[in-house]
Amino acid sequence: MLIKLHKINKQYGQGSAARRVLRDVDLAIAEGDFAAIVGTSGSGKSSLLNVIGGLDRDFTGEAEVVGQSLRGLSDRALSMLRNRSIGFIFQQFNLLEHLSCGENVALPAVFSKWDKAKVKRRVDDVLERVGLADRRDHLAGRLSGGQKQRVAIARALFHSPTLLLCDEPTGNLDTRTGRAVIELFQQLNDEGITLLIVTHEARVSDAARRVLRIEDGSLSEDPAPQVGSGGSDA
Amino acid sequence: MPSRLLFLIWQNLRRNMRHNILSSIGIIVGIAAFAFFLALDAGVRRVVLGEIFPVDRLEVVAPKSSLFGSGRFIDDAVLARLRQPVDSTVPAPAAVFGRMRLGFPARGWGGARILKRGRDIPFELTGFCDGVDDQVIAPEIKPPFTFRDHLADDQPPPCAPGNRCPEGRYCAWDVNRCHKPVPAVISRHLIELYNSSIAASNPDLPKIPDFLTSIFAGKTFTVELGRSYFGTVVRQGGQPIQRKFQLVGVSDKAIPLGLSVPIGYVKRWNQRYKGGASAKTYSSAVLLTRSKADITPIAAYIKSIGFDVKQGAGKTIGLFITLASFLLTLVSVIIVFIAAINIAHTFLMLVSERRWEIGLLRAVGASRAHVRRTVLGEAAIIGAVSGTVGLSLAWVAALVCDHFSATRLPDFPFKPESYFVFSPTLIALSMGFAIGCCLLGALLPAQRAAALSPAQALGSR
Ligand SMILES: Nc1ncnc2c1ncn2[C@@H]1O[C@H](COP(=O)(O)OP(=O)(O)OP(=O)(O)O)[C@@H](O)[C@H]1O
Ligand SMILES: [Mg+2]
Repeated sequence: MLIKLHKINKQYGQGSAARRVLRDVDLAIAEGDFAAIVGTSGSGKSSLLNVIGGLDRDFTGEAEVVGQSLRGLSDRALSMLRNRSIGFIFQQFNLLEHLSCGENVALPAVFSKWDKAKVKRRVDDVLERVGLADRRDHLAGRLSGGQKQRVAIARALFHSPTLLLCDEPTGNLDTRTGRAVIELFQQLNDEGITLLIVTHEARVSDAARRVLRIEDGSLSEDPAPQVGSGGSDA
Repeated sequence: MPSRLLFLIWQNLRRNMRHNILSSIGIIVGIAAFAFFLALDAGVRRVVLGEIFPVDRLEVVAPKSSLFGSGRFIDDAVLARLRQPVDSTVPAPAAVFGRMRLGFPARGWGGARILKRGRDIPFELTGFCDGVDDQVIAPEIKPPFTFRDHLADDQPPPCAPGNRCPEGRYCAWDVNRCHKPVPAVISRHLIELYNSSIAASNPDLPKIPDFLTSIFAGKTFTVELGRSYFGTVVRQGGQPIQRKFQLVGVSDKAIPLGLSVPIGYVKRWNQRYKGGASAKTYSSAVLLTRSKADITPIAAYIKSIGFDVKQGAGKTIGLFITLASFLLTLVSVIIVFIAAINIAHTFLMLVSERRWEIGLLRAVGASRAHVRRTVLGEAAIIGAVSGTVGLSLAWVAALVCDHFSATRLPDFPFKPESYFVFSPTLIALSMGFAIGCCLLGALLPAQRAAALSPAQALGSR
């Protein structure tokens, strides 16, 4: 299992102001899975993703991600895990707009020890992969929304992670560019990358193999769609 | 620090250039003032304490504790005790020598051959002449001149008829012997005084750049012992006598205002015109220390054996300089600290503005330490740049001051070419201070940035 959660509880605030946002969440995601997390706004989707990605350590319960128990890791080791094995993709792209696309993509390299030539080659590779090879030296701030998200995906792919965590990746994109991004995700999943995507959009969850529903902090799973159902190529 | 983190820091700095310039102005002004005042302090100290009032020496005098005197006086036994302190914890002095004042009226005249108008200048010597141990001054005198008591081993031949004598001697007619002139040294004070007042107002007179080598070296003049221009005449020891003196050099061990001659002469003359103990007791003893740090323990030792240390002008002035530069430096330190608070503000603002960026860095693999280093690195660079600019400003200001002094101010004694000393220590201190204060200001913001949980930081967008 790439992700194993057991009885995860999380609350914001203390005492009477406390608000539980994750309740006894159990989850197992296998390597190569493509899972969508759906739920109403404020149901705790981002909170769950943050726990899995090691961005939030303020929770109770057992969490094992990419073979490591998050609880026992030092700040350094956890940072290293994020650096090497997990890619994050956000709704707002989160690009440093004063830097070029290439520099944005190479951001993970600031915290690893790759040499310059290797970094440069990898930047070209991943930009090529998302179809933006010609934009390497353009300022990130000048790109369109769809291009920005593709640069962000290239950045997430930089260290060839096993797990991609995406929080509303198509939320700020129009239908057409959103569809292109979903297609890219499917290709990546075909190449073996495990995907966990928080989404509102049916077309994203339709693309996923598993749909996890979160409601007021409790997680449940939709029954798996039958193989071949809705097949249009029959 | 890895170069890629440095790149990130540099890009952040570039992005906030306006802010950074604004917040570094305080540091620049503060460091400029700091370096300027400390360099001025060092420069003034060099001139005042190094040349005008050397602080490597103590003048020992008999205590004046009662109206009738303390009954203590400085004689050879006391000099010996000063040379070799009985207490082994007291640092040994580099040299000790006695000074003996001329205890009777004296006057002099001379210089006719130096002045173009050819008239002798009269000068009063009562109180302006003393004797100093030959050996402490002799090494400073350049040949062919010497500083020694010629009468100690010289048997002067009688004068030839008509008071004539061989070359290099003159006829002391009261004893009818051909004496060598009495070697005399003067202090640099006198030269500076002459250069800046007499010579400056009198275009006929040459200035004395490197004193005896050119103008006054070997010049002789006449001194009348036992009579002053104020009309006083000695009552004992017979008639006043005349002796020729010869200027042989400049020494910082000479009496500040007046002439110093080998002590043997003064002993004999005092014996003759004053008698008694006046030929055996010194008016003071000068003690040269090996280092400035020895001053305090040696002064304590002197007090412990019942003598006083003459409060040198150097010490008082040194104290004054210390106080003045302390106050000025304090002002600049306060400026820098206020600037550091300003830096803290700016960085707190930057950190809260860039919360999501910090979150992003954490997401792509930055540890808390990385985040802290990024913020502190920015501060250190601002500090280093501000320090460099501040130091340059101070240096330029110093050049302007020196130029103004050289071109606009009239000559005055010991007028220096530069009033400033920018030592490597001062430069290092200023840079360290600038960087240190920026780091100090950024410490809390860096801590806050590092303490943010990545999820919290990212959630702020
Ligand atoms: N830092 C925080 N402090 C306090 N409450 C928080 C914090 N972050 C989230 N919450 C609350 O916790 C609940 C779950 O938030 P979360 O962001 O996980 O929801 P979400 O499912 O991602 O919603 P959305 O679809 O709007 O992104 C919400 O009610 C939210 O108000
Ligand atoms: Mg959310």
